[in-house]
Amino acid sequence: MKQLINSMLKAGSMFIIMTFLISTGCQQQPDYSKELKPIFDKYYEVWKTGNVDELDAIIDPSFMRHADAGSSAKSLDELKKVITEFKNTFSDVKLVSEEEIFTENKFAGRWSFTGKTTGSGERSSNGKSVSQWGINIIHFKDGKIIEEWDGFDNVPMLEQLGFVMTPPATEKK
Amino acid sequence: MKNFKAFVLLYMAVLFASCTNPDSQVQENIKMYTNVWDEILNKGNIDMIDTHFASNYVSKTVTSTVNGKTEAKAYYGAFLTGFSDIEFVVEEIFGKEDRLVKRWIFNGTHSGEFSGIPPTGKKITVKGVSVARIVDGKIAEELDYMDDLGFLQQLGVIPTLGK
Repeated sequence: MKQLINSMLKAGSMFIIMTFLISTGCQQQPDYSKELKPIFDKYYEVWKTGNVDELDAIIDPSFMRHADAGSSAKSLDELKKVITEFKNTFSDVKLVSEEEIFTENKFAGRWSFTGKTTGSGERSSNGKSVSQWGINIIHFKDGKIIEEWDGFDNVPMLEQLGFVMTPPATEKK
Repeated sequence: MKNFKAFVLLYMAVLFASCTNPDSQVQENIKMYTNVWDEILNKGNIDMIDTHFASNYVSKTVTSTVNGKTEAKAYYGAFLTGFSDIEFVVEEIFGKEDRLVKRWIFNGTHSGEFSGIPPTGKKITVKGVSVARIVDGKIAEELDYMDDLGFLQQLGVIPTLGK
């Protein structure tokens, strides 16, 4: 009887050890968000606050941002100018990260933005509210952001600001 | 005791079998997704939508929402009739779980009517980013951004300040 209990215990502990080994070996994709999300969150924070000096700690000096002509940047310094111009152009800025995907040294997500053009920037004179959404991809290297692609659409944005799109056929009339 | 050992072995087997590698699933989705868009845009095989899109497919762009396969065929079909010499290049693609993300470039010649604009013969280049969701091996959802302003400007559309 004692022998039976002993062997049951032995088998039971084997059972637990094996289950543990398999379940740890059978992991989901590693959770890269732990490492990358704090950097990403800081970056978004700077877009909201305009405190561009905080970028030094999270942006690689050789940073590149691919976006529309007005908000692309080829260096950290150019990025600071882009964000400062953005902050000057819009007030009541609400920038929300709607979806976030983190993989190894990469991020992709969707953002939404609302703001008012009441600041002091180029497009700021008419005080209209605008909203926009976009998708961005960010590459990280050694704990810093090295490259970004930011996709958003300027047609609805311009329409909200009162622009009309004139097709070439109409233009000729 | 023998039964118990057999039970443990069976249990382990089930555990192993249910342990699919999430990364290989993503790789499989990438292969399918890349191939489907290559077929549709580069080879003009619009019927890939019938076989590889989910019946409740939804695509959201900044300006429109496409619901279901029929609307998808009309929406993407417009690019095939509006443009020739189409070259659709995926610059980067990666994913996690059921999600895929891609950066792409669309090159083409505006040789047919597109979005009410008569053919201009112009060569255009548009860049975009898409996020997709793959369910049971089919494309179920896409969020699509493309540089619409740059695109329309290349077609000769000029934004003017309305009154």
